[in-house]
This record gives sequence, C-alpha cells and structure tokens, in this order.
Amino acid sequence: MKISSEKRQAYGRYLIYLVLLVLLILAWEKAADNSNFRLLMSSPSLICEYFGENFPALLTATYATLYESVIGLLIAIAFSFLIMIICFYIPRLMEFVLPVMITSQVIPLITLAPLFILLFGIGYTSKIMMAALICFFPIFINFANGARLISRNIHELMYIYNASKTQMILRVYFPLSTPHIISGLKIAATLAVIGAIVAEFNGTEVGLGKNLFLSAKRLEPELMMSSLILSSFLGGSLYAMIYFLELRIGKWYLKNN
Amino acid sequence: MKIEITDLIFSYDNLSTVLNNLNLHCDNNHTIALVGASGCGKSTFLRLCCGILPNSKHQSLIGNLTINGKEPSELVKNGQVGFMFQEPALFPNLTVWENIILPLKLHKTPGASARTQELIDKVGLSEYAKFLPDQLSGGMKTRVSLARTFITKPRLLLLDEPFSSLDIKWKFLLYRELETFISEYRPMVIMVTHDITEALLLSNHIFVFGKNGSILKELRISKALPRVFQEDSLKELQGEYFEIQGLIMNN
Repeated sequence: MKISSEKRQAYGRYLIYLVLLVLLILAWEKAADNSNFRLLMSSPSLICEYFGENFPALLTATYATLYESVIGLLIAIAFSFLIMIICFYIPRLMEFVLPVMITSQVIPLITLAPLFILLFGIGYTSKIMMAALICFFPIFINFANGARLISRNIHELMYIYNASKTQMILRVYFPLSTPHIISGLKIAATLAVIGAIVAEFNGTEVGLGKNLFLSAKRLEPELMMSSLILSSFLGGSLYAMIYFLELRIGKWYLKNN
Repeated sequence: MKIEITDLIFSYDNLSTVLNNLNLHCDNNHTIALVGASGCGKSTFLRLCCGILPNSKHQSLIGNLTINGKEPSELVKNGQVGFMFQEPALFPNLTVWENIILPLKLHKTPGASARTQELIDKVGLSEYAKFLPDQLSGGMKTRVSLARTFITKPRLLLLDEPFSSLDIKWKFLLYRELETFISEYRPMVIMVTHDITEALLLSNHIFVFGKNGSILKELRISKALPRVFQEDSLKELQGEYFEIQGLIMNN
C-alpha cells in the first residue's frame, strides 16, 4: 500500500512531536535528581506514582471541573445564539447590544469570581456561571462578525426569493457564519476551563482549581503537576470536541484550506 | 408585463442625485439593456426595479415606478422576479443541486426535484450536481446562477452584468443559453451591462445612461432576436455600436 507524500509528511511531523515530548520528559526526570528542582516541579515518575495512588480523587476533581466547563460553555452558546437570533429579528437591537458587550469586556471577568461565589454559593452554580460569562463574548462577537460579513448579494437574493426571517436565520446566518462561530467556539472551549478553575480558586468542595490552590499552599508538587496535566487535558479535549464538530459541519470551507 | 417609470429621481441626502428624471415605458417581451459608464446609476435603477433600495440612510425616491401597475415589491412577493448578480452569489455551503433548488425549497414548491433536474440538464451540469461552488470554474458558477434564476420561471428578469467577469468564449456560450431560456420562458428582461456588444446582441431596446443618472438616448434595435449566433449580427449593428460608444465617451 502506497502512502501519499502528504501523509508521510504528517506522520513525520507527529514522530518529531513524539520524540520532543519523550526528550522533554527524560530531561525533566533527569533534572528532578536535584532535590530543589524536585521540590518545586516534582518528576514524571513521582507524578505517575501519585496518579496511581490518588486516581479516584483526581478523577472526581476532573469530573467536577469538566461538568462546570461543559455546562458553562453550553449556556454561553445558547445565550449568545439566542441574543443573535433576537438581533436578527430586530436588527436595530444590535446597535445597543454590541457596545454593551464590548464595554463589558473592560471588566477583567475573572475578578468577578468572588462576587459569583457570594451570589450563587460555593456549589457548581457559581463556577458554571463564571465559565459561561467568560465564554459568552468570543462566541457572540465571532457570530456577529460572521453574520456581518455575509455578502450583500446573498441578502438581496433572499429578498428576491421572498425568504422569511426564520429562513434567513436557518439558511443564511447560521450556515454562512459557521467558520466564525467555530472560531469563537474554539476560543471559548479553552476559556471555559479557565473560567471554571479560576472560580474554583475562590472556594469549592471539589475541583482541579481547588487542587491547584491547595498544592501551592501546601507545596505539593505532585498534586500541582497532576492537576495541571488534567486541566490541560480538559482544555484540549473541549478544543478537540469543537474541532471534530467542525470536521462534520464545516466540510464546505475546510475543503479549500 | 408592462413597466412604467415617470419622472424618477433617486438621491442621497437630497444632494447626490443617482438617478435624474428618468422616464421609461416598455411593454411585453422587451429585452432592455442599460448601458453607460461606471457609477451612472444603472445598478441602482435595477435594484429599484425589484424594490431593493440601496442600503443607505437619508435616501429619497421621487416619481413613479410601477410594473404592471404595481409596486416592484409586489412582484417579488409573488415570486415573479429573477435576479442575476455580477458575482454568481452562490451559497458556498450548498452543492450545485442545492443551490439551484433553493428558491423552490424556500416555498416548498411541489415538483422541485424534477424541475431542478430539468434545469441542471439544460445548463449541462448534471455531472457536477454534488460539487460545491468553489470546485467550479467561473463559467460553471454563472451557469448555476442562470439555472437558479430560471427555476422560478420569473416574469421579470433583472441582470446586473452577470457575464462581466467571463472570457469571450464563456460569454458567448452563456449568451446562447440565456437566449434559449428567454425564448422559452419569455420574461421581460432588464439587463445592465458595460459591454455594448452584449447589449446589441441580447436586447431590442437600449437605454444609454449619462453621468448624471439621466437617459442620454433610447435606441430600438429592429433586428429580430435571437441574434447571438447569427453571423452578420454585429456587422449589421455597427452603426448603433459606434453611436453608443460615442455617447458614452463624450458624456
């Protein structure tokens, strides 16, 4: 079986990444021979050992953060789509909504985490709301931008075909803004995890944010590193989820790239 | 189909006049061509003919523009207007088939698939039915646009320089296809073009627009349509060609 040159190049690239990763782990392991370094950064072997010993607790924390991130992301998607749909029906509303949205971004959103704990309590709700808030803007602004860039000819064509607003939304705004919506979702997917973890720093019963916070306080590098790895895994997984969604619904523009 | 335009003035902020005191009366089966230099208001006029006002504030429209005694937007509501843009305006996310069938699907018209098959065969794109627009050449895209325009059997066909970006070979192939469609469905055609040859070959009524948005000259071409592939067409219309060219150049 022949392998195309493009595939061969891709496999070559993956191999280089793998080799670099292995080298990094080996270097890290070697550096951990130094006790000061080990005290701060631990070592891959110690982290693996820690994973094995505390797997159920780490899994529970990961699940909690994943739950908060995913629900937060879904709420942000629903809310931004809802506002966009209302704006499509009442276009003048966008003139009011957009400046408010942009102004709201002046507030460093993560500083609202303590307020959310006060408002919604120490449970999941405050973290979900934080994740949703931080995800909302990139999805909304990218969708709005995508809709704005739809060609005038398409608008005029749909006018000629006497298309209703609902048909415009379903056949024009959503499908033709897909590349922009997906870009927004990719940014939001990683932000959702950040939002949930930052909210967890401020108080929670369980979660990766709590693990990270405690590990710094107690100087437990294995807990910190394992939580960092799991946080990265969560962010990467959510990003991959959007990427696979794009492969399904974005074939028409991915074919060109 | 009857188009009546009396003392039509269209301007922005009452300062910049795009169309100036237009008077135009045409009856059935006319193929009208609007020629003139860029920026003389031809495309604006075409859009007004289907009730699309340019997307700008502070615009004013004075005068009378009726088609069959009705407002142009009435015709649009009844699905009687077809419009071909300078760019094919295809949906990049839809296949050739989906693009052509779209107008019928929007209104859940019965027999849409059979009609789409008929049109796609006529423009010779059956093999490309599942292709996306980006996989087609410029000429093919224009053919898809042509098929989509005629799928609704429009009574008023508005053409905004749809062939301007094509090479001469594709242009003549598409002129022929357009002529065939026009003779079959017999819509009233209003066509905007920079190309005097195109206007002379496809229309029997030419309006030359001046820089200030007024009509400089109205020419009636007596030679019968269709005339795209008649050998002597252009030779016989040389006089009209130079007259139009002179009017545009001297304006």
